[in-house]
Amino acid sequence: MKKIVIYIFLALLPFMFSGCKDYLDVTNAGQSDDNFVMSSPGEAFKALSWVYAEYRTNAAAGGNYNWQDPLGSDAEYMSEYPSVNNVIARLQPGATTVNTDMGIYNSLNVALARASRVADLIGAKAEYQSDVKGSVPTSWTQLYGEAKTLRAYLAWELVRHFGDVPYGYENQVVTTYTLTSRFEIMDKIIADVKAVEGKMFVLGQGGITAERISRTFANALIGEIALHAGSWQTIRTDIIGLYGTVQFDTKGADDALCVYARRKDYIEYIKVAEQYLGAAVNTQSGTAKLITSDTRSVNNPFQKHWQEINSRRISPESLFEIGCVAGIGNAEYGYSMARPGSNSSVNSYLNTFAAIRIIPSFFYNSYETGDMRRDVSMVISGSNAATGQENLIPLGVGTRIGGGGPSINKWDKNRGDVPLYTNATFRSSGINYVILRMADVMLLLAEAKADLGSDNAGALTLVNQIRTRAFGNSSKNLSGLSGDALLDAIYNERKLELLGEGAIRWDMIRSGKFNERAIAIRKEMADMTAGLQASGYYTFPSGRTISNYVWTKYVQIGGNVATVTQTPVDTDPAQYPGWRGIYNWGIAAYTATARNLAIQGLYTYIDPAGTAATALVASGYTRANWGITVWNDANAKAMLNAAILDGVVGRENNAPRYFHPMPLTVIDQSKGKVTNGYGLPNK
Amino acid sequence: MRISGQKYPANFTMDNAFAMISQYGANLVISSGVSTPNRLQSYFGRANYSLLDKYMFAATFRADGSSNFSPEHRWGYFPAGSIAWRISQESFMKSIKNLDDLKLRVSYGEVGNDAISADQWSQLWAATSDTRWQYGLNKLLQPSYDLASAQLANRDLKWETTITRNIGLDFSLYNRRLTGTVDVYQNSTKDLLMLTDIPSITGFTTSYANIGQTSNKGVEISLSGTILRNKDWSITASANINFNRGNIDKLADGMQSAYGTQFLQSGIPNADYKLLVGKPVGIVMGYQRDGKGFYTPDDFDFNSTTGMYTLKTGVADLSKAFVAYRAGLVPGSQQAYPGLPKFVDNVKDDVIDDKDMVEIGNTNPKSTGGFNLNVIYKSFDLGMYFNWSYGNDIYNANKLATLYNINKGGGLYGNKLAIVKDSYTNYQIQSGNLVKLTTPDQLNAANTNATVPSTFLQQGYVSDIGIEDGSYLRLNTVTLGYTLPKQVLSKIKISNMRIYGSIYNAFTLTGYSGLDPDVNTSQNVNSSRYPTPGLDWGTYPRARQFVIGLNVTF
Repeated sequence: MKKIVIYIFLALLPFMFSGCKDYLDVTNAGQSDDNFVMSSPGEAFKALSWVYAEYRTNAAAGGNYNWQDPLGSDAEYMSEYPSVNNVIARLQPGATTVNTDMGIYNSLNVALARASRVADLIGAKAEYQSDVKGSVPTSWTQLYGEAKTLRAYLAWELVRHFGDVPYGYENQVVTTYTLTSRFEIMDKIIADVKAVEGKMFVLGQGGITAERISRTFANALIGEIALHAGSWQTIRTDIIGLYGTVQFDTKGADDALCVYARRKDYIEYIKVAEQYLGAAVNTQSGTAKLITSDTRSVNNPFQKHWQEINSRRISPESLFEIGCVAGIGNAEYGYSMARPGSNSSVNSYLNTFAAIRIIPSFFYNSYETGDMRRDVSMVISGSNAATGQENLIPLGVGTRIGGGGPSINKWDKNRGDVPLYTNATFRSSGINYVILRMADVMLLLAEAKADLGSDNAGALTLVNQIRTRAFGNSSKNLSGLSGDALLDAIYNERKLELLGEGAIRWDMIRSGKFNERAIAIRKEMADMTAGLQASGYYTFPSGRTISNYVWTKYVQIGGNVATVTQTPVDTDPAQYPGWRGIYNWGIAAYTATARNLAIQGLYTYIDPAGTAATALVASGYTRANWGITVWNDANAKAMLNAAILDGVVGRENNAPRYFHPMPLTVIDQSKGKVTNGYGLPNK
Repeated sequence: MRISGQKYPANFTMDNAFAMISQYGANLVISSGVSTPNRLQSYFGRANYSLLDKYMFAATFRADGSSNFSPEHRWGYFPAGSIAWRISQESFMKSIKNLDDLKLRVSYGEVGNDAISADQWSQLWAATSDTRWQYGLNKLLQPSYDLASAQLANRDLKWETTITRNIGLDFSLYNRRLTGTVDVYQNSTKDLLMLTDIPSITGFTTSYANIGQTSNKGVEISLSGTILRNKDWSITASANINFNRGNIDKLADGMQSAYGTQFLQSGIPNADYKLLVGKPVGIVMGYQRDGKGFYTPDDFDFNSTTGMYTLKTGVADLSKAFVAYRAGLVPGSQQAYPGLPKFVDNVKDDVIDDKDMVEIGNTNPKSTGGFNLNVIYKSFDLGMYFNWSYGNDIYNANKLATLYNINKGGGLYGNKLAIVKDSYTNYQIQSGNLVKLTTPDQLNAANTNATVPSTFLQQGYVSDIGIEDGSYLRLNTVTLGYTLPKQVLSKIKISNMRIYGSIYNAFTLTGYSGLDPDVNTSQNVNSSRYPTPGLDWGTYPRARQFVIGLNVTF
């Protein structure tokens, strides 16, 4: 018996050891190797599809909560109070916590690494290597350029918002790393995109729409990065040797942490900016163009861009949009970045937080009469989701239609051609994120030209194209400007054109005049507040007047229960200002038969004790608090004081501190080599 | 169920198509997945030898191969062995009176752990079914490929090995009326295999890694004995005590040492636990209370005309991280105001910030143990089972959470712990109106009994207010029983019947202010990857149970 056991054992022995290697080599049909994924351009794009989507879901969707770019300038602010959602916008680095921006920092790095991986895999393919020797772009050279440019764009987002960061460590096990100079990073990504853009499709070529990265966008991106690299910014002074041999001119005092600076050889970068922004506007623009005609009766080509965006279509003016799908989450346009709504279960789709608010003095004093951008860009009424009516948004502390006063109007759920879509839920409007549009690129090009000083006429031509569109004619065109006056005019035009789009804060930084502009807007608000308190009204240099009170009344327009209004009709208080109103949502709970709002006394003073006021009340108007809130409500006063760039107070002669903190993991594992600067937390 | 997909390219096999159905067919809301198998291959050998019933030897050896590791690191080899010597059997021991048994044991053993998923050492691709990671082109979701594992692949992963080393003595005396064991041990776990945070500059936020080595050494003593035994009485007792010292022996290069429970969501500091080589796991980091733990009017120069509180020279101010908005009239950039928390300025730079954080708690006990007493008197029996812990800190996050204003307005009407009534107040109800107190005299008068700071900060913080002594003695179970006389039962054909009453969790002696010093907060409640021992955060307290029972045997 024993022997039999031994024989069986001996017989089995060879089988026990043979094949064991195979047994432990497991496979999974749901998992594929690199060759499988890179088998065709269509398959390879799916790997890039993930990168675009990661950026949409975890970076763009964080929107102003992450970057706060459109919440802290001399035109925009945020009215939530007290709040930790706008401390970077206010320039208060000490009031943030180390992991505040962990999500977006990680997301950008993860997406960047994936774009790198895809680019490396395509670059290694025989098909690509053969195609790239040819003279025309192919699917493979486009995809390679797309991956490289996407990577550069993500690196640019990191550099812009976090400053100097660890760079070049993707897709490997890393135990030692350090900070890389932002200037070195920008040099590298500019070189990367320069190397690939020539073999990419311009917009409209090869089936490439603005929802993908094209040669057109690649050119503009090179220009934008170069312009930033050669402009004023806050650099660190607490790390010796960080910037290598780069020499700087500085403004104001160094507080031993940071200083406001521009590299001495900046002009070389501005030249690159002019060359590539010029290519994006002229030779490589493809189908992207400034919308200058409008066949609708309203004839407002500026508004046409926003009509396209609100209708969930790609705008012909866009160089790059992040593609969203209605009903799928992650659309901040229509939620935190849109015309205010309220939070009610009756119509939860209208729940619109509306973080981007317009500084009241800017609302009154910025746009010239006849500028068709004014009402398209700013609004003082929002959607009441409970009643389906248009409500006045009071000034003072609050979110949605509960407070904050003037708000961004460029995105409005009432506005699209077909506002109601299937499965409409809030935060899933399907409105694309416009990353760059032609008007922005043209004004950046004008800035580069003005910086160089070699083509002032060209700069003015560009600005005047924008102004002609805004006014409908050339009557308000600028002429004869040069030097600082020209630059100031360009920055002002950018403010009027790009309000709420996250550009103004960066313009302030680049201009080298951040503190001056911050102090000026704070003074403008202080003057307005004092005037209101003293007289009950305050008239701005623009001729418009803010008063303690306005009068409102629900009305019908042309017999309609609810109307989305269009171009302003000066004679109708329900259509002046224009581009507001409310869509008829067709909800049974909405029983009011008059849902549009007539407003009186918004721009001119009506004496509350006078006969005009009495007549208004007699005709059904109600008096509402307006300007009085900014001086009579202590909370509102404190909020406005804090929310409008209060980080400049006491630091008038120091650098603006606008950067975001890198997360704890990056600090902790660096063995002391990586720290957050600018007074940001490290623990 | 019917599913369909179409237009798969030539390189898709049937298996690929079934595993990644979502990859073709526009707007097909369908997905599928296949998981990678985990495979283990093992060889095992064992030898036992016993000599004269005095010397006993045992040895085992195993080789394990796991598909969870790369081919270079697949195999782990784990030996173990033990020797026992029954000293009492030796002839020279025969002369010792009252010694029934004495045995010395020595053992050494290694065991391996490969408990990770199978996709951690190679970086493959997989179809995405989550629409959040499908891009939109022309309002249509595009299929996408993600990496199959969210973790950075680590080809160097290898088996985690736990080594146990033990010397023990078993003894029995006085005709087995006193028995006991003494064990001295040193156990270590090397190449700890854990999911760990890595800097996202790699393109990944986590990776599995062999992160270091921890060890536990200690002494365990247990005794049990019969105190009295006669016709009516039987009293027995037993006790055990354990002195354990945990230690982090080493951490892998670049390992993250600070980690957070994040109970504060966006609190200060973000990482409230720390791994330190040479210390045990369970060190809590935070701020130390200065004096009473809050600013009082004595810390300020008060201007009675303007109502402004200016900090006196030498009194440290709070950094902006603590205060989202000003509590009252203060000059310039000053944050401090009477009632706000006051911490020790350890680096003496006149501002309280993250540089002032120190170790504020160690959640490891100096000793733990238990003792039992069983008394039988005639037909009555009584059993009491105690356990205790001595010298450990508890990190009372519930208490700290009640000291700040979670979720701004969302916390309105929310419940707070009773200690809030002892918090510093800047308001008082006077003849039905809420009045703000502004002068030092008003504030001092209203806060003579205050023990904790004002609770209206938007930002939470970790301070030693939340660190408490967690020592306790608990009567875990007490049981009293009565067995009915046999002669009564035999008449109704029942062989045995016992009625008893038990109280579980009868009482606890402790100075801890929370609900239960025996905290067992789930590590999943926290976002931390590493253990957070001693954390009390939403722990459900153990119930006290009263049980009345009847045992019947027919």
